[in-house]
Amino acid sequence: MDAKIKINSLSKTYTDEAGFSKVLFDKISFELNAGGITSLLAPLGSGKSTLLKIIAGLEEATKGTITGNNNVIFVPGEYSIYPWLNVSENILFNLDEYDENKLKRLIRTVGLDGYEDHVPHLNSIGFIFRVALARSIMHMPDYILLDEPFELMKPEVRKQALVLVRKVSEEFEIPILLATKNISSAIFLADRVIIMKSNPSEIVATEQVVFDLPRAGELFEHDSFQHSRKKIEDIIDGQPEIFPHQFTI
Amino acid sequence: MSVKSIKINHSETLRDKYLLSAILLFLYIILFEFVLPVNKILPKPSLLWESLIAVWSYYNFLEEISISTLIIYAGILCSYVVIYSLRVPLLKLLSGLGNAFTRLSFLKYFPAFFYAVLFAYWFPNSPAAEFLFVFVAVTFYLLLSIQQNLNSIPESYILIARNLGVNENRIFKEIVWKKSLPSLFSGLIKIHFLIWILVLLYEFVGDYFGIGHVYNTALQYNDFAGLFSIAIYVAILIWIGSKAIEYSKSKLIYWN
Repeated sequence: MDAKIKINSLSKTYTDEAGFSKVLFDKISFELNAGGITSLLAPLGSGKSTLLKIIAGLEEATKGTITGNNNVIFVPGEYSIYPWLNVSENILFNLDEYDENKLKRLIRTVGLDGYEDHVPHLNSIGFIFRVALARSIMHMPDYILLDEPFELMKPEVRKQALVLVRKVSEEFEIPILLATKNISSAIFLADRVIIMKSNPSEIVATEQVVFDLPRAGELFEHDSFQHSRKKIEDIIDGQPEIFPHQFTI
Repeated sequence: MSVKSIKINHSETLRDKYLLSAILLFLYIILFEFVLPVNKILPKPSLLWESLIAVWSYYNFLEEISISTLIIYAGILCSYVVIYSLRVPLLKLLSGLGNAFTRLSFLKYFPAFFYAVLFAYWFPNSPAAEFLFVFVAVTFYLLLSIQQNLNSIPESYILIARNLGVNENRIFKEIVWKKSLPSLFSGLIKIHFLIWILVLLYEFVGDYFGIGHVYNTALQYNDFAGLFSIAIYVAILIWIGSKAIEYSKSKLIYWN
């Protein structure tokens, strides 16, 4: 598959509270395909959020280049919608023109039928995520970057959200990059998993993920899923500089 | 705890509160009307009742209360209108100042009485000056409330907007302002009480117009019942004003 976004020798340094220069990641290179879903499986403190923000153009890298990232939507893990806007207003935020039919189809696909005028400031994380996901799709990006959106969800809600993300990515043909430290989420969603370590942050492995079954809720209990998860866990265990407890299952 | 039990507890709390108030009122009437001689602790209930009616004619109370009330709420309203109209440049300024503006919060440790006396000294016998005083005090306090809230605005709100191509002015206008509204209204509810005190003090010291001037006159005449009557009317006004602000907040703001 052709590469859509190319990250070449990306480095990021920052100044800590004591005034010392710290390296967050150094010379990271990888490519994001023009289709499908890629998971960036990385522990806490590895800079995955910063990396996503740099790809989205919201932060500057210290060194390195990125190409193909002109139309990228970033979806943060928390506070991803505006509580003073209703569902439709959130989805259409800063859109001057839109396709009414596409809006209706999108709202139906993410399960927000009947909630168009609802103000979601008191709703669950799962509901808020659906609105944020719909907004990102409505803006027709070349790529969607999800920054740990499932971390605060309960397991059942997380499974539903994962199935939904896979569904909308295929239906609307928008590739996605998911940053997460959860192994199950990474392999369920992605066609390809990029594993990173921290201190310093760098890519240690890339694995293709293929299942014989459709990626629906039943997959979590299937042997092939458990096998894929074990494979990733073994890769992590085999890396001397990665601590397995930094990831979640 | 179930919803039903929470509602029952709330009703019982309200009933207890009204019951306590009724008991205290009953005790006041019995003790100070029929048992105790006239004293300087609380006025006789019958005298208080007469005074509640008499103050309107005796002190030209309607005009004085109108002046004070108009100045206070016109000042508050103008402050909000100015802040709203200039919200983008003001928010940019507050963001740029960082913590510099909150360093002025030491001013709150000066007794409120001092500011009222100072203003009465600078601008004696001036309703316009009193209005300006209210306007400046409310504006300062509201801006302080907004500035203290700026640090709690989630970074992701700004990132989402920038990512979707929203320009800086619109970010301040539609996102930072909206997120600041709850703290602004909370600040308004707090400053409302303080402004009443400051205005009454200013008028008391200046002794030319307003409710404070009526207080000063009643004190000079040793009108014990009058002092309490005026206090009751002021309390009612403050209560109405607080409820009006809280009602406005509940209608305009449903997020935190």
